[in-house]
Amino acid sequence: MTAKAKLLALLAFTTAMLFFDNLAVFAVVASGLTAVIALKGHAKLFSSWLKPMVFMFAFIIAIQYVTYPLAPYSFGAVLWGVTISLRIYVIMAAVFFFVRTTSMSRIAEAFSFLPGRLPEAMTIAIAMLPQITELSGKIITSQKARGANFRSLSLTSTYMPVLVPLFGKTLQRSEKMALAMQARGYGD
Amino acid sequence: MEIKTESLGFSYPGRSVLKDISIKIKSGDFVGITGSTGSGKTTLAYCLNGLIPHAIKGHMTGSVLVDGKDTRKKSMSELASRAGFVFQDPDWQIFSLSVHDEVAFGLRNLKMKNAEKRIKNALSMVGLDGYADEVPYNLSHGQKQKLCIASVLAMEPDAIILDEPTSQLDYRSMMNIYSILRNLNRAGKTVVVIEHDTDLIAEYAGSVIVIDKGTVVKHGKPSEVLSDKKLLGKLGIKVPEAYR
Ligand SMILES: Nc1ncnc2c1ncn2[C@@H]1O[C@H](COP(=O)(O)OP(=O)(O)OP(=O)(O)O)[C@@H](O)[C@H]1O
Ligand SMILES: [Mg+2]
Repeated sequence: MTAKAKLLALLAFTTAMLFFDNLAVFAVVASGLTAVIALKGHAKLFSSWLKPMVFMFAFIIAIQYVTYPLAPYSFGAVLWGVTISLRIYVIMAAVFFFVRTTSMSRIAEAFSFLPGRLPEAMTIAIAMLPQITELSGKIITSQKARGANFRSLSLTSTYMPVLVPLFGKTLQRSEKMALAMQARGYGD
Repeated sequence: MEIKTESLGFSYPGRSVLKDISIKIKSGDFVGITGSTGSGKTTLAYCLNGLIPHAIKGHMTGSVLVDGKDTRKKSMSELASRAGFVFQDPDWQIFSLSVHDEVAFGLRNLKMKNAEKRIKNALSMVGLDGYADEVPYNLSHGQKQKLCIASVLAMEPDAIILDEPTSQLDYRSMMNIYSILRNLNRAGKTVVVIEHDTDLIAEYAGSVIVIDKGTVVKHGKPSEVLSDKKLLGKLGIKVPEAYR
């Protein structure tokens, strides 16, 4: 399959997943994708992508539990949270699969139909994913070392200490990366 | 390649950082830049290769001349091919999924010929032969630093500027990087390195620039500058073993 075809397949798949909201469908697709990733020998790397997301999923489920419009504080609310989390999981797994089976230059090629500097931007965004997951792992560890408790879910005491440095660092890093690219003649 | 600054000044929006800097770096020099944290070393280095004023916001006064030509009048890509820049943290610059692609990036931008040969040479100069297909993300910190150096060397610049290249390395990798720099310098390249470790400057550099609060307080041979215990003491810079 060419990179462009793969990218189109990924886009189609992602769009389809956004339209579904059926727990059973997600469960089947999620197990299928996970099995393929494990069979290809990427299980370890994929779990390092996932680790920081576990908190995100827990957070989503907790929020849905409280705010689910049809029936808050019910089992149905929890299921809805699980459904949304699985949707994100499934999309992540598909993106992971795409990135792991396509070389960087092929990915850049696949994006080449986009105008202006978007192809490079997309490529860098994808390239930064593993760095961002690693970084969030580091931040979580260092906040734990300062006694952060990620079992109780609260926005101020759990998520701010992780999300603020994560966004800050990521922003800083992409700024520096842009600078480093210009220092190697990119852009004019 | 000669780099000269004439009463160079620079302020980031709302913060003046460099004041009245006039220095000359001669072709083939090995220059160490040192000074305390926040004194403006990185900012000065950005000025030397044209990232300031081309890529960074702020107000620059005075001028920087590369081989007699004002950096303002040259394009960033032209300057990039003359003076390569290695950033402090390799994670800031590595974005490719293979070592080969990372080194190829600058060559592609500058549309350089014989790319494959240059990539091979550059990787072997830093001792990374055989790593072309590796994922950079899996390299050690020292190897990442070497990859960044290779990705600059492939463009065959006349000068290479490095911002604290060894600040996160163990002793052996530190020595390793410096011996690479020494070899490059002996092959005729101008090397400018920002370095906190004055022992390394004393051993490797031919001249040293000491910066404090955005101005050059001393510029000369390491044996003269770094033996000035009084000055270094005042600025909080370590006197190298060799001059104690
Ligand atoms: N993008 C920026 N915007 C505003 N101020 C900045 C910016 N970058 C640096 N500064 C400020 O400019 C001053 C000099 O910074 P610079 O990074 O050049 O110092 P340095 O000597 O390299 O320090 P270090 O040894 O910590 O790397 C510092 O006070 C810093 O806070
Ligand atoms: Mg600095």
